[in-house]
Amino acid sequence: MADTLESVMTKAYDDLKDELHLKRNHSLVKTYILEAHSSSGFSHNALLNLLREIFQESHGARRLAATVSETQEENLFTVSGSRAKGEFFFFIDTADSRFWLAHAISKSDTSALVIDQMLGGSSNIDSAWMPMELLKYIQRLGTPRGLALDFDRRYMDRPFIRRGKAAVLDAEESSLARHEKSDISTGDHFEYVKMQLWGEGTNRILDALSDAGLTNSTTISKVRLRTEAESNSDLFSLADIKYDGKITGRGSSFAVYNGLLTEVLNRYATAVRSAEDKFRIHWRAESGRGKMFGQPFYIRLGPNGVPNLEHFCAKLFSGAEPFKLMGVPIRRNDNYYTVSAVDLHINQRIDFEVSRNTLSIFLPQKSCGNSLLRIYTNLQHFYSSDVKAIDGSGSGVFTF
Amino acid sequence: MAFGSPDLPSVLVECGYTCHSIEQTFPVGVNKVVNPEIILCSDEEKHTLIIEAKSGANLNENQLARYALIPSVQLVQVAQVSSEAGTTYNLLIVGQEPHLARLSLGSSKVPDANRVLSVTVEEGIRKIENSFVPAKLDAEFVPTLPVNWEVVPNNFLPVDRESELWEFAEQTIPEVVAAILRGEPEISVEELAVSFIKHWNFISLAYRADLKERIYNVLKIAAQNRFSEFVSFKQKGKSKHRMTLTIPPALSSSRPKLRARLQRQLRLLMTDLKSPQIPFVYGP
Repeated sequence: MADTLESVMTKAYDDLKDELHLKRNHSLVKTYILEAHSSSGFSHNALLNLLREIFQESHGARRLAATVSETQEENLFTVSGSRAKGEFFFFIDTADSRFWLAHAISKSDTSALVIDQMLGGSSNIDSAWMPMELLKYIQRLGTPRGLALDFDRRYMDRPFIRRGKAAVLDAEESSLARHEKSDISTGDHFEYVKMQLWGEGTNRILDALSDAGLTNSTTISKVRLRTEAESNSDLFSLADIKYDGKITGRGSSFAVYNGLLTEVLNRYATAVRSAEDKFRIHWRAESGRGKMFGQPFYIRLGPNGVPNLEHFCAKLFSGAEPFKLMGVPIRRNDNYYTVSAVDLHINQRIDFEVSRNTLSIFLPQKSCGNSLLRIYTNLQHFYSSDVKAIDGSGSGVFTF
Repeated sequence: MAFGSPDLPSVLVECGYTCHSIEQTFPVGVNKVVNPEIILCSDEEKHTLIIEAKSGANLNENQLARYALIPSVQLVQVAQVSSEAGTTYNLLIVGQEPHLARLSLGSSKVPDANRVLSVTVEEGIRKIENSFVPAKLDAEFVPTLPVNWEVVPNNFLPVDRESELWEFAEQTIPEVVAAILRGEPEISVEELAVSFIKHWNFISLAYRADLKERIYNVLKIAAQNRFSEFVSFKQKGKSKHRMTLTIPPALSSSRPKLRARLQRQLRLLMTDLKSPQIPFVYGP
């Protein structure tokens, strides 16, 4: 596998360096961090069966012909097949049986379609969700060579869609529907930011935006960095790491690239497992009495709070993308809502309580820490870059 | 407060209090027990805070007398607090302001310097009588510990025997929905209870039976109407408290349709039960 991927990486790097575009039959190495959920354990055979099940489930949804095969290496599998008009080939490294690395050498659009179909068709697998704090840490692992910002507030700000025969918009609300600005928007943020900055010194743009008081709409979605072998700078990797766990690589050394992947994977896996240890709420017997373990996970919703709490809850718990949380918000009073929701990524229940300043999340014992990172990361991208995850002591949860 | 809710006073976290137990019974003498609502412990302050909530106007003299026996026992032994936290203690009684006069009268009949009497007021919790051993904790009640009652968490004790049907439905039905989406063939009332009453295994059997019956009633209503195509009881050979879950054929081939249908039925059921949910007009 390493030889194959290194060949792909070096060809891609040479193409981009010399001609600024990839040759027809060349592509970047794309690696996707995936998280698997399995009730039957993580032995080699269990992983093989899980992979087959995942592709069978996604095959049932749309046309996806795939063959899952073992290799000579324990816990390394290949998946090959075709999707629409494209062929795809993945190496799936399950050395960490829960957090996988899926390396694709097919064209981006084909491999992306396959990954989307896997994720959409199966609740046994999810992508990684990396908050800004983790991306900033990753950037420091090498020489920063650029970053991308991606913030989209339009879903959260969009006015309500009325349903039912009796719904008649009054004059104020129909005016609201006609205009882009809704009563959730305080007008102090951008609605949509998409920016890519490559080269050295790109972090200065963040300082400029911060100086302009626009930290709430400047969510980092991708970082690019160069890492090198300690002993030989000719062996290097230039990698883009995106918040949804997609990493693309080019350069001269797969070993250097893989070193970066391992560090990213370990950091991410540690964050998820730590979240589970700390925030799964459950009771068990200790010293002859029942004792509660775990604590709520808090997300501070920015310095100005949420002006329209009802709208915020309606959007967050509608079941739609990007949050995919389905629940019925209960209004306890003007300033407090409770929601027992279903996380549609994994079809597990999670409880929420929402004040104007804080989203409190009560993670059940059988739920996954990934849910916390996903919700937090999505709030950064679709609500405000200023949200902050803290624990009961007020300390930041995701510090790297 | 002990779990550090950012919307509530931080004094308990700052003083290192953690939740030791909820509704734990412990002995204070021969044939004498107490059963406080909550026990909080702080190794840092070398202090145990035993909390009794009173919704009525009267303090039970026998109960006060039992609590006054605590100095005669070792909290480390009888209540399994740590040796540090067991060094000192206070009993905090939290009553309601309208009953202040009667509460004070009742308290005066069984003097106890370790007992702090307080009442809830609009601004928070007001200390009426005596002081806490830890100076830092006592200083926060000046005399009122400010509490925004609107943002007090619900999740730690989401229901009790006095809760309304919609409150049970709020907790139960999402768990049923999740089980249907996972393709589970059946689920029991007990499993549902455990999913949201997290200290289920540590409450009395009688109380559990009570709560199970309330949960069962909600599920019966759901099975008879809004969730009739998904949920059924009284299958042959199955216990009364075990439900069969199905996905109708018309919905089995489309996950989006299934989810939309479940969401709609959940909203309709909550409307039927008159929950204070947000209006059923919002879409994505």
